[in-house]
Amino acid sequence: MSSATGRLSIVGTGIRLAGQLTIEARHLVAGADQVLCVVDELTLFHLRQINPHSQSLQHCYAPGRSRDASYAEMVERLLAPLHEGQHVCGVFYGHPGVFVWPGQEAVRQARRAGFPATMYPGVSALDCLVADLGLDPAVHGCQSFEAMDFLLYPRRIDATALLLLWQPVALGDPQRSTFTTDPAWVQVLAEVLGESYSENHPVIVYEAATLPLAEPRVESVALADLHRVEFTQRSTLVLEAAGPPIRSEQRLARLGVSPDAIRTASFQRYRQAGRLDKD
Amino acid sequence: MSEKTKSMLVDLGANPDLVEEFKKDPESVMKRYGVPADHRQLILDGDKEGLAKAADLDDEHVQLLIV
Repeated sequence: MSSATGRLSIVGTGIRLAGQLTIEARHLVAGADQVLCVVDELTLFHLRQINPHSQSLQHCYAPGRSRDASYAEMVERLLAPLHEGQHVCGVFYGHPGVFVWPGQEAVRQARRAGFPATMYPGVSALDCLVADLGLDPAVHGCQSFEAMDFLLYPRRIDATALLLLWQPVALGDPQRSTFTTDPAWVQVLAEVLGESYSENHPVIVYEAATLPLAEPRVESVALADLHRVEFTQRSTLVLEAAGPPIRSEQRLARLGVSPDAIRTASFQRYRQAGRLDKD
Repeated sequence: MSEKTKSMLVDLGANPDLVEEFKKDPESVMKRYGVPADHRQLILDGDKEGLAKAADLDDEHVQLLIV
């Protein structure tokens, strides 16, 4: 029933049902003594096809309960069987370490307690975004922030690089409990972004598809109209680069390299031509 | 949601060839899986919200992790 020493494996299901569960994740789910999941009902059904003993931890969330309390309970549930020598597989939606506090925290606490603990990468919303929108982070570079964190803790951003803002649904929900967006907060976010982008700069509201027959949400709106958009828990804001970066002749001189000696890579030529011209 | 509908959706999620077959002839794929009439209609109507609700996938039932 159990291995001699407890062991924790943390895996992700990917974003889209069934197909994005990796082979190694499937193997770990199948062989674990306990499979504890924070996933939707359909994904739970799939996991139970692989390991009938898979249990949901969704009940850790409750209306009015703080996220901290929910996460603490999840971590506790994941760690308890380790002391009985069991192999526990924690399963989370998407990538188990991307915007998943309890996944990372369970690994940290298990290791501190002396148990072997491994996180296995999964398919995140970022991976789906790259594929669905055709945006390679290498082309312009990529900046990525949680939306409320970005709003409240000012960062220096670069308008010549891609900007991703996650979880805009929480804007206006400082307690992070209701996920009701306040358009006034979104308007302030747009004003902050307006310091770097024009008010007509397109913002893509992106949501990866979760069901196999569904299409992703790809809705483009001018920055000035962002507060009129409705967000869900799955929404991400995508601001493409306003233009290409400029090569520094000063740095070339500092390196002692002639401009003719530099070979421009394919992605740099694509960037210079401009994505819209190219398409 | 019926186990049969769930099974078909799981298989569609894991098998892109089945998705292509479904696009060409959804009735025949759903018949093969024994998908009940009410779910068949939701799927044929492209009623994503209705389907998500039937599968408890709407935001009232699923809490995605937000740090």
